[in-house]
Amino acid sequence: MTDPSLEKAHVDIVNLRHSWGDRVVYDGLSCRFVEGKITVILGASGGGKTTLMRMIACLGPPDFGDIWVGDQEITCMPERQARRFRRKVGMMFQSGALLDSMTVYDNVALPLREHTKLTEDEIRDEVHAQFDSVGLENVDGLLPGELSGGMMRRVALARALIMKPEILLCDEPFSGLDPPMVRMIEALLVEVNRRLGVTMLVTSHHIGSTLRMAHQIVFLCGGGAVQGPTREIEHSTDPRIAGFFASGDGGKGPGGQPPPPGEFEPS
Amino acid sequence: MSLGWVQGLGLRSVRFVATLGQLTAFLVLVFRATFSRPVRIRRFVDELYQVGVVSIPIVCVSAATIGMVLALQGYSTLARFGATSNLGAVVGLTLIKELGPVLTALLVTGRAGSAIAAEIGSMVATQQLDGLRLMSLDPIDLEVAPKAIAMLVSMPLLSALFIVVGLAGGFMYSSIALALDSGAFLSSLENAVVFRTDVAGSFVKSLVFGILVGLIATYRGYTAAPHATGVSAATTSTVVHASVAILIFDYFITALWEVRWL
Repeated sequence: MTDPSLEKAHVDIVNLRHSWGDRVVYDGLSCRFVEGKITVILGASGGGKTTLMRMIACLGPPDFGDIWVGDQEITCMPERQARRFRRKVGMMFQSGALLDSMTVYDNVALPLREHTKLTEDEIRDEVHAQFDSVGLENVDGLLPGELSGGMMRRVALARALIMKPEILLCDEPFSGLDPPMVRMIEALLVEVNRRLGVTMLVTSHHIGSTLRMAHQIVFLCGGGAVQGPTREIEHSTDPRIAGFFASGDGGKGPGGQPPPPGEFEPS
Repeated sequence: MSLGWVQGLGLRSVRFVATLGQLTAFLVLVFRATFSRPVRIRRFVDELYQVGVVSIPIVCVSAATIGMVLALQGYSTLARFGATSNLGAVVGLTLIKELGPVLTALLVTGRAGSAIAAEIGSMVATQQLDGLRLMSLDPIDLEVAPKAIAMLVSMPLLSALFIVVGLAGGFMYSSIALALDSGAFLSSLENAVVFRTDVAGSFVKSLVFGILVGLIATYRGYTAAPHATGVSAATTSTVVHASVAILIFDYFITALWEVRWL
């Protein structure tokens, strides 16, 4: 696999510093996310993975440092500009972040109704096409509270993709899911990356999924980041990284078995 | 020891002024969102139902009870002075000038204001507002402004309903239970109430209370800490702060209004 440092960066983080009160989260964090690839951000709980996602989505500025997306610096964008920028970004939240008061269909149709001039028939076609692509059917009238964890993630993915973003942020997409559902979400994310060529940033604690799907890994530790192609990071001699991998499932699939061949074929 | 007390007082004062500033900035954002396109009529109607229509039963039951209590209390006081023919004026002026707008505002704060704070607060806690921002949508435009405006529109209507039902309760009680002349009740009411001062003043009060409750409830929800404790704190502080603000503003509006018409 190509070294990420040699490939074109879509998102470039430069010398980020950030604290929560007295606790330093980033102290000179620099890393880059390659265009069209899947990058998994690993690190201990509280290590700032979700905070980094939020900063890339312009949902909160760092104390210091620069964030570049393509040729655009987005670090401290005014809200009006940030709103325009966010049309390039889709985010799949850990909690789903679907609006409780709306049906699943309305949740996914909302961005199209607000930002396009499509007719209701065209919107219906778009939404159903998106549901098909994430393997959902007969969910239009359901409320978010009636969905299982796996369905919730798939609806969240459908909503994140409906505006055809250039960057897809996935915050802990596998947490709280059973092993078959982890495989399914994994396969969906890989398929989306392959089909749309979208730059994908995924935070995860799930080592098996990371090793199977990531083109590169950014490992957050000590306020900074260690970055490299997946196999390089997996076999890193850095004790912090080696310890992290040793504490996980060692890259084997759920249940301790190696992933079966063809696992990324969409179901 | 004394220095610590002064420091604490200073810190609280700075926080209070900062909150007032944030509240004002929030009001400007809500105002701007209200008059920006697209006009969200459907969201507004939904919220009007949640804030206004759902509050009707509690307002009616409370108003009828208060009207009857006023008639009973007013009768026992007026009887000492042989002035029971003025019962309609006492019940009417008390309801229109004071109890109608104030009690309605307190009731609506407890029922709808707390619900608004809890709803927006839980949207913060479950990242729903962040989800809207990620879709390039403004949560103030989509979620906050319709609720605040629904509160502003509902409050005078509910207050008017409270007054009408309260008067009906007082009238029924005086006619049936106290066996007073119903004509005397109505004529004293008609002679005592002046639209330009009493009814208009009541309307102004309920409008101001609508703005206060709508603003405090949405602001507390919007700035809630993103966890369950934060949501419950936002709900509690909405009820406490809005209730106190209603009573303080009631005094100032009454004082200014009475001076204006003296």
